[in-house]
Amino acid sequence: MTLAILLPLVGIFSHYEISASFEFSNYTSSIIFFTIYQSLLSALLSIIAGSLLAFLLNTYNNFYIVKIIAQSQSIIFVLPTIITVFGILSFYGNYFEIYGLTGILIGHVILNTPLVGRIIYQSLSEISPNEKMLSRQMGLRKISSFLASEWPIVKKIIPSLFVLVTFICFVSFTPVLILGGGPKYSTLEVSIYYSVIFSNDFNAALNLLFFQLIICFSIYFIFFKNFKSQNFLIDDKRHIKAYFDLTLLNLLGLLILLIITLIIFSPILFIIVKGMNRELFNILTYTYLWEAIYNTLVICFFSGIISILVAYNLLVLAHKKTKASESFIYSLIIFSPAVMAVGYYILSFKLNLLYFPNIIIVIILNSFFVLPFAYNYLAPSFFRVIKENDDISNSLNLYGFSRFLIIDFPGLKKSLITAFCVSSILSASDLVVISFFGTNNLSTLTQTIYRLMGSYRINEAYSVSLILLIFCFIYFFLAHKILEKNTWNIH
Amino acid sequence: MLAEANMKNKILSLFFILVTISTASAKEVLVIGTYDSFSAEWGPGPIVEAEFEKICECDIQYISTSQAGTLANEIFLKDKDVILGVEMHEFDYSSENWNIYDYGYFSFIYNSETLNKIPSSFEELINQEDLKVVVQDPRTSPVGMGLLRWMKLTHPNNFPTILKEFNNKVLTYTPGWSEAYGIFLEGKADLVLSYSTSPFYHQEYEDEYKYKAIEFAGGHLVTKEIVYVRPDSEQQKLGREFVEFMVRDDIQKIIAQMNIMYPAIENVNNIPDKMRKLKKPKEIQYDDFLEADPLIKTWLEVASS
Repeated sequence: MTLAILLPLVGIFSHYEISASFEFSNYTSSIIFFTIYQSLLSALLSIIAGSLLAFLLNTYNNFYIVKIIAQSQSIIFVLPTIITVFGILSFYGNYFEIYGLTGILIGHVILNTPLVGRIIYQSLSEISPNEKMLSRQMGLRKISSFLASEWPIVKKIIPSLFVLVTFICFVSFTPVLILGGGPKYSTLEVSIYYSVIFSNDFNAALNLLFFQLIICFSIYFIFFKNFKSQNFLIDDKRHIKAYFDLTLLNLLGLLILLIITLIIFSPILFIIVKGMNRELFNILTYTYLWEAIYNTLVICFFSGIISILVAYNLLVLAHKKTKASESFIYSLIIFSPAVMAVGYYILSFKLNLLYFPNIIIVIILNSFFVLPFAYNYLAPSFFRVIKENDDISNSLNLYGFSRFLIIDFPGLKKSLITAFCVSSILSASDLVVISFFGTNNLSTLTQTIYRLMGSYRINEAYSVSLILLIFCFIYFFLAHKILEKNTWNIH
Repeated sequence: MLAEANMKNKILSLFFILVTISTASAKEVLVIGTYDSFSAEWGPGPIVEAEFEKICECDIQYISTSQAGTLANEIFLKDKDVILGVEMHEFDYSSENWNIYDYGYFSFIYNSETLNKIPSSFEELINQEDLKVVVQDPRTSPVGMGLLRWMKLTHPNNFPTILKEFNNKVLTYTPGWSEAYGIFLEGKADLVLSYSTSPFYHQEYEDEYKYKAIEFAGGHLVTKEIVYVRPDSEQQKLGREFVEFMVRDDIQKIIAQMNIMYPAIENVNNIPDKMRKLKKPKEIQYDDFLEADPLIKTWLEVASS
């Protein structure tokens, strides 16, 4: 794991000449401040919107439609950024002065709210029915019931989510460039990309990267020190019907839920409207589409498997008080994707790995890049389940894999499936790795969308986006159906 | 333990099979690094490949990138024999075997159904009210870089001033050509920086005539695409053949038709009809290539204040 991060840097460092000069222009320093400001603010807003969304989804989850929204919201997060950004421009471009800080914030909130919402929702839906019943029997009002049962859980996940979203916004590229409207609003990542790719200036890139690391680790330590897992118990999964009365408060809640959903689903609406064009049926006959679907499926599936395996093992390490493993996971985001990909490229060249089938390299690199997300989707349930089961597994003398299969797996299954789905699809949305290691015969749906746009074929690009959307829905649906039904009878 | 050793053997043998497959093919392989709109299924790449393989007894492999700028980055070029599509300003002329295979003029494209007043110079453009322009970020796109060179060449004395005023008209700077052109096609901007041949695509493939290129009286910057053999490639002879092949008349025709650029060696046969009917803008003449870094520095100062 550590190697995965350090190896590409070895590749880069082989091109590095030690120089102590840390000369930053005025421009760079203003970008550093803006990046910190923008990413903290984006994270804060995304967390607020995401928690609200998760809370409302959890409150009204006895409606079937709400369940579907809850399951499918992650898809927004994994759509190609450019499509999401186009959707944002179309929906909000006419009403706001969108370019600038406003645009960046709107973009980041729309991109990250589903991520936050999904992870918090996952944890909230695991609140014990007994606990809910208890608070109802005690006649707690909504707010006190929230404070008693939901808030402790939300409070526990927020620091890690905050760090995650801050880092995502910190290295944000396309949304910041397009919605920022000019170089005044930019990120360090853009400067790093320019240094690495265009001016071949590795020294400059690494200096900027060091700075990025220092800032991000400071953020990590400031917001993370309170991250302690608390103990709360869970009972058998008896479902109790949340009661729903037609009160003003409930209606208001549903209304807010509707509004947030519409806002975060607007890019999806955009794709549906734009994708239903005359090219849609034409492209179904093209081989490139089916090749891309096949490659996407292969990359999705294997990256998903690898990343949850690694994420799970990292969680086990983190549980054994090896906090270092946790900070490494987060550093995967802030190590600039451009630098990482270039580093891997140099390395694979030096080690003659380019003779390796490219799809294997793409799968392995992608499963590393999506680790922070797999980790975050798994962490809340993991720490809860492990805590609960520690005594029983100790008394039964069960450790390692057998403990996982017999004791922990049943409680973790749901989160594992979600983490698998999200990291799968997220690997498919990658553009950096595939454009360095992809060949003609190896292109994914996301890459096809960009390729089509690069050849004037915007309508085809919209249609492929719609197909990617459908692909994601089917993938989520099948994964849940197949994996959830399969009740591994090991007891 | 035994099972583990067995597994290791299996993995090792699988690995060797894969390596053997990739090295065992009898034909010579020519690895061509290019950008992916060239090598894509709908681009000129597949036809060029098929035509060349007819005469060379070899196997062409495209390794294509969608990251702009990588074709000028030494790291990505190491294991390729031929590089196809590097922009002339980014080419270091270290190779002796190269050819220009197509060219175009940077130009602004507009929708003639929605824009009534058409600027005919940078001055008119910056003075026209309510004009929204979308261009590419020069740090991430060669097209965006082209604009800086173009403006610097036409305004050598007041470049920062004109750039600053131009910047006021810019809606946003996108990472690449695709995003800018997409925003324009979505109707979010009046003008987009592209090539003067862009209308040809819409006419030829969509039967759409409303998109037009603006002609500036002061002239336009030419951009040429180069194909060359890498000096340290082991396929010098084959590479040279390919470089020559790229300017063969029938190949030039395919390039013009599918790459939406003018053929480098143009004649009445190899230029598509609708492309010939487009007006070629006046070309600006200059002696020295302008370095990218100082221009970007000026742009950052002007556009970020």
